[in-house]
Amino acid sequence: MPLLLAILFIPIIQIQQVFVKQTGLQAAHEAARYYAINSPTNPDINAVITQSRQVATQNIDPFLNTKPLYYNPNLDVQFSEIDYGPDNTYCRGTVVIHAPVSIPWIGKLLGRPAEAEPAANWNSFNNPMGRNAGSEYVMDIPASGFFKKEVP
Amino acid sequence: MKTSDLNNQDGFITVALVLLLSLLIVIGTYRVELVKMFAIRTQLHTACDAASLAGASTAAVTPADISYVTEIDAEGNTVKREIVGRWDVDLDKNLADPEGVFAAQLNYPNFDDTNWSSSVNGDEYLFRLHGIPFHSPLTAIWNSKLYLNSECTSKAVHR
Repeated sequence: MPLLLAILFIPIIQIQQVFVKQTGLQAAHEAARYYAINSPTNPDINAVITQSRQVATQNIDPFLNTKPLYYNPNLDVQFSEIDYGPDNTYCRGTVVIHAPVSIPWIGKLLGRPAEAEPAANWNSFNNPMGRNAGSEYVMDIPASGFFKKEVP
Repeated sequence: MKTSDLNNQDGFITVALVLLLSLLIVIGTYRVELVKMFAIRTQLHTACDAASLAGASTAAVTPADISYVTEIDAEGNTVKREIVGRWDVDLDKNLADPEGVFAAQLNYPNFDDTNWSSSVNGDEYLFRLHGIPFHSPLTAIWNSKLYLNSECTSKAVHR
């Protein structure tokens, strides 16, 4: 029976993982692009970060934006600077989505509860069991975009 | 063979289940691979967009067609104001390409030095990733290859 359930459910979770990854990549792309273009010219860097987070949020699937547990722009959208060469600066926009596991009790159904997994694997993209986030199991799916800052 | 053997329906459910499961596995794999392909295309698009922007940003933009107007400021002083009618853009492919490649490598870790091309058209820089092989169990079964392409163009402007 667990094998049958695994054959039925694991593809569903994998589709969900890849779909969320795509959404995250799109959001990270747009957010990093906005940040790279606007941060060098706008002296108020906090305003640029807030606007970039809004841009990321606009690209997140509405279903994932229903609970702060799944996606919280203030915590899950981060920007960092990467120095490359004497005058070039790249920036990185990272979006982490904590997608709900579409089959919430799959770990138990398959006889492999998430609690039994080593903590180091909880954040693994390839771990379909998710991690226990209190009220439900979620999968942490990160995505990044790198852009060169447009220095005037 | 006796007629009673032909009428024996024992084992039908097992055969039907095996066929159904095989069908489910193929459909499931197909859907996973399809969504995965879209995710990789998004990654390629990000790489091309970042590369074209980085390449275009290497352009030297210099003022041309400068004219001056004389104005009187709020304090009553006469001041000359510079008006730039046009900007000249010098986009050098040799400078743009290393920046473009670096940006593409950052965004697409599987970047292969043979799968890209670029071109400069006036003040526009085009970066193209082409022939990126998409490895999938399904294409392996069909013994066929699937390649992904993406391209983006950015225009160098004065900011």
